[in-house]
Amino acid sequence: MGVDTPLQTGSRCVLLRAVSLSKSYTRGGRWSRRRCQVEALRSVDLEIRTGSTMALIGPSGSGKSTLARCLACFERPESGEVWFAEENLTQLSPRELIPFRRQIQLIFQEPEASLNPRFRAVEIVSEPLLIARVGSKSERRERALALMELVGLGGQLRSRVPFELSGGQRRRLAIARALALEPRLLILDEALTGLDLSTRAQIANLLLELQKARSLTYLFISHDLGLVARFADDVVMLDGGRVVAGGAHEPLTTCGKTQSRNLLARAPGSVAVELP
Amino acid sequence: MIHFLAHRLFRAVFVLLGVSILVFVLIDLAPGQYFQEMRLNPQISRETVAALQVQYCVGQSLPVQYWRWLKSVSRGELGFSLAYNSPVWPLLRPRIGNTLMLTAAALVCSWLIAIPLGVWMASRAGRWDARVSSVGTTLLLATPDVLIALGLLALALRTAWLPTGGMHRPALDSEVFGRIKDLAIHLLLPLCALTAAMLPLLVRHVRSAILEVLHSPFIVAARGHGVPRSRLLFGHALPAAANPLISLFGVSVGLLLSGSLLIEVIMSWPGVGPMFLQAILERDPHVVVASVLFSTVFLMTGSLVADVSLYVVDPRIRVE
Repeated sequence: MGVDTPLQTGSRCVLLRAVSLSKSYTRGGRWSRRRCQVEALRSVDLEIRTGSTMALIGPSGSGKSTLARCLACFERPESGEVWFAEENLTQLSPRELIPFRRQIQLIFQEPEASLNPRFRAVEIVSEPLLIARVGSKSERRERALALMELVGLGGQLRSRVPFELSGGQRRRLAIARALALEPRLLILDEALTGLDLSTRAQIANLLLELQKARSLTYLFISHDLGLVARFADDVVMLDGGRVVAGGAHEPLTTCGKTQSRNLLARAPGSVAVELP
Repeated sequence: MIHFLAHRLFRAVFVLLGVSILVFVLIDLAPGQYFQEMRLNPQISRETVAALQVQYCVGQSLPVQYWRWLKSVSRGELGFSLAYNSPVWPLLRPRIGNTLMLTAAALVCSWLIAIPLGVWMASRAGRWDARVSSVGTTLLLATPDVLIALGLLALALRTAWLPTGGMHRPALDSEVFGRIKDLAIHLLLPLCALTAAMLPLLVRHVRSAILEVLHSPFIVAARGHGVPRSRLLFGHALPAAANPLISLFGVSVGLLLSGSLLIEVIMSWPGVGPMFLQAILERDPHVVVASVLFSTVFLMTGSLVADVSLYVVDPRIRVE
């Protein structure tokens, strides 16, 4: 299914659109009897509006992280298209993708593991700037320190390596790194999982403040329906690699919260969720 | 750091004492003595052999022999060689230099080749060229060191490209450059043999260490951020995989030394190896003990260098 139209639908400005995305993996070794194809995504359609927060929910193994990686161009889908700012990313070469990588940043599941254990905090934040060849060495360092300040990491932590930071500080560091190249879309793949309540609330507030200050768009993947209810403007539910609720199939309306409420009510274990 | 080094040095003294006692006991348990062959010689009387035994304190109790050896160590002699009729240290010193030269050169060469080759093989894992390289390293690993050395020796003999033994030509150049060049040419063959024997093991370890790290989330993240391939491999993956490789460095020092003793014998390199072998065959106990102690010191130095490197490289170990 080709998309010829710009990412503008009526009065809604769509930042990212996924069209019929499919992705499968081979499980088992070459000579294994158990070798089989696992369909992680099956014709997924999705639209994320500029400046909004879309939550992606679903059971484990439903394809949420695969979808996140495909949207962030970490993996190529087998079929389908990812449109971002009127550009079909799936047709671009790795070199052509570089400017778009700046605009879509992914914060991984267990962000701590995504930080190089040998790099110091300031090096971790300034590395994307180095790769993008932004400024001189001292400018990059200044900018990295400013970003660390922005996410609440004091300058005294600049020389620490990840294992010398607390869990919350590492998450903040991952967020600072993701913000380094001033992205338009931030994909948070269970980025708040495993934190204590206080730290989770602090980082959630930080994300909301950053969204306001920088007009960021979030794709928020989580199992925490309470957090989804607090964060999300729109909710999409995946199951077995398919969108089972929300997404482009169910047209987005201006009253996204109502739709989210309905979706969350349909999600298992979501009885106690109260939307703000 | 100073406390750490002092602790290691203090421990090293006990290790060396333990090793020397063990070697003394094993030599004592082994059948045969230096003077046994003399007894078979009808031209040497039994009284002469007995007098020599008393003179050189052979046949005394083990604690007495060990105590006399310790006193000799305190004088810096490392015991007395019956075969050479001389203190051991002046005999061993030039040979230790030669062995260290060969082993250090092989250590540098094998690691300089193993790191880029292992990283390349890990980055190409599953592709045909990496598989061919993997088969090559497996074959080399399965080939005994003796066979590698003999093969190279045969090649040198047939082609006459390289000298097949010794350290220098008989007619030595007076110029420094000429002497160095001559030494380098003589070093090349044993160096190739030792490097070829060590290389496959190192390459396979580097490959597996890098391969493990390449699947880490931070590498996936770095790749996603567009980090170029060379920076990803050498700037991210290699430092992260450094710990097991640094530990392997310590082990490789010992492996290379034991390999060099054999290759020195085959290729007539005037190191500790030929002297050690001769001392074992002739039952010259103090030379054997001194050679084993030299190996122990070398191995402990390698291990210490590895530990200090880990301490410097990995902040987690520094904190612990």
